[in-house]
Amino acid sequence: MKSAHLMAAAALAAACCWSGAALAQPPAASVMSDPSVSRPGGLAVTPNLQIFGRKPSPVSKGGKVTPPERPPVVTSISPGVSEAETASAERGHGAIANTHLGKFYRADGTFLRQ
Amino acid sequence: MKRILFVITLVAAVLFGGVPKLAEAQITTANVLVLYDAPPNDQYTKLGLAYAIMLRNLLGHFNTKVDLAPVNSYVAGKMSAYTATFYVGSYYANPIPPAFFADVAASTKTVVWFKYNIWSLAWDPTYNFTPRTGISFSGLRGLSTTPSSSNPTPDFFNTIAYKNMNMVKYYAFDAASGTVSADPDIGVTAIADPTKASTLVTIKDSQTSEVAPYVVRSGNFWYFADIPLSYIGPRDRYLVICDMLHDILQSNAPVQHRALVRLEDVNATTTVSSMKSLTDYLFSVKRPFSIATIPVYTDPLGAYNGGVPQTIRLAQATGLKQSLNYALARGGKILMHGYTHQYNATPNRENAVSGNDYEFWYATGNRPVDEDSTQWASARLTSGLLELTSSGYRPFAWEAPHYQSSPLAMKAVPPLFTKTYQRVVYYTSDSPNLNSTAPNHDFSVGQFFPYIIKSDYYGQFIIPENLGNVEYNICAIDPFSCLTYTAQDILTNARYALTIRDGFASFFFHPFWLESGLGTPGLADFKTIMTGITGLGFTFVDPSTVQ
Repeated sequence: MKSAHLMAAAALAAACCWSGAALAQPPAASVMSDPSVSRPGGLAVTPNLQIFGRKPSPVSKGGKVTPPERPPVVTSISPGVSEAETASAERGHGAIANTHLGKFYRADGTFLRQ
Repeated sequence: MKRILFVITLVAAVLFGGVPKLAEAQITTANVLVLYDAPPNDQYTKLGLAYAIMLRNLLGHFNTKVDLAPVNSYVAGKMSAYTATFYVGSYYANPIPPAFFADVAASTKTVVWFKYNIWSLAWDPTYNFTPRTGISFSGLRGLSTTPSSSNPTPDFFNTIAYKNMNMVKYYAFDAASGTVSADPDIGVTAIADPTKASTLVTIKDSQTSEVAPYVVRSGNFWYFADIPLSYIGPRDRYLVICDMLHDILQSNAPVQHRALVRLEDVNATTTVSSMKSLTDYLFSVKRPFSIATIPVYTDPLGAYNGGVPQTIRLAQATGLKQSLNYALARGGKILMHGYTHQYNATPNRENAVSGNDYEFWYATGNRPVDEDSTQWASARLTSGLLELTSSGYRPFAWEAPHYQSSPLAMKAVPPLFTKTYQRVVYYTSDSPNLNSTAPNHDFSVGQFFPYIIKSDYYGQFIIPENLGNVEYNICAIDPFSCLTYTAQDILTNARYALTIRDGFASFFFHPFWLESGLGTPGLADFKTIMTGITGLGFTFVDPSTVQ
């Protein structure tokens, strides 16, 4: 009985230490660990934000919900990387204009451009 | 015996209880359901699928198994088989089966909702949404007015604040056509009960200074005010979803910032001196690096050879082999970047010269090439591999020329390469119709990744490149090189990449910028980037072994 209790106590202590160690580790760079986020309600926002148009009247249970008015400016929506980003940062250009690369052939037919 | 059992039980219970649940989630494969809008016969019928593919790719970073399905196919109880369900509300007022709302309202599993159609859940008292979640939904906001030449940039909620970085949404207005390229609409929510819900991320209208919730959470329910997968970029709110997936999936991933550098478009005509300078520098600062190698150089129109066609195979490329051998002995690793990195004798964007043109996509027609098939692509990849291996080089990864291949060509990659190192263009069908005026047309979607993707939509393992490359405007010398992208641009991108807790800073660089005739500060800028990235806290790692 005694040894069983001792072992249990040891296990409990070990577990507490592990938990403590886990808590003592620097928090992961998670938005959830940000103090401003963890307060009730999270980050501050503008109260009573206006919406576009008027909010539809409330419906009763199972009634048909009317969607909110949609902002009227039609835009072109493109998924993924924008063309501007593709052109500037990712496409690259693999060779610079040269005029006579043939001159770098050597007598044995191999090519060497120092 | 009972006592022993008691002790064992207690020890097991305490030990398992002591281990954070997050760690459990990390080792368990999460089944994830991604639902998307697919309204029939519409210009945007397949937009939802495009977003779903992008989200599925990001989920490929984690220990997940992902299913994609149109939301209109949802049947009651479906989400119960999944650890997490994402709904991408890309289509305003898309009809959604009531069973989905009922299951979301009753679910104790993770549910993530993007943008539209939340009103059908929030405003129907059947689902008790606001009392249950503490979140209220009030309506939509978008561009405040139609842009004009006198007011080209009307206000909208455009700036997301995340981890001390401002991420500005893409916006472009073409006054001549009146086209606005942007995705400005957001769903406006508020925290009705701070004991139940929190605003985790905010979005600001930079002209009116109004601030709205961007990401709100109530227990297992998350709401994003827009879809952070349109007009993405390295400083965009796309990074928010990339990072927050760790929170959503409870990955418990440690903070780890790694960096990668790749020397690009290295081929038979690359000067030995440029490669030597870069290799010597990288070796001196003990930075591993990779070399994106084009096995066969060809210029079928003689554009750079006085009109005389020129092809240089690796066996004849003495300078290239010298450069590769020198680099390999100093920490360089080779990946294969196309077979010829051009298509045929037809200019396919520029002049049919290796390094300049697309190989596995007909860029000038925005469609697959005429010969397109998995077999055709596989034959080219195999030829490239043979070229390299017969000279003693074994590439550790594949990189598609200009990051774009057809869907069928991409399917040739996984059987031949266990890894790719690139950005990727995805398609909403294997035979994409990209005519943007047709109903049900397909989308092509360029996507970069801030971290490793273990398996993407096409089954590829992806080593990321997310910062871009330096470009100098040398129009006077080369009419195809008229862009400017500076070392500081790359470093700014790297600062944004720090918002991803396990994000990479991965860039590429063309050795030809060191050629003396160009007069560009290539080596100095390269060193600036390398030291700058290191100074930000990133550690350069070997791309061939990175996991």
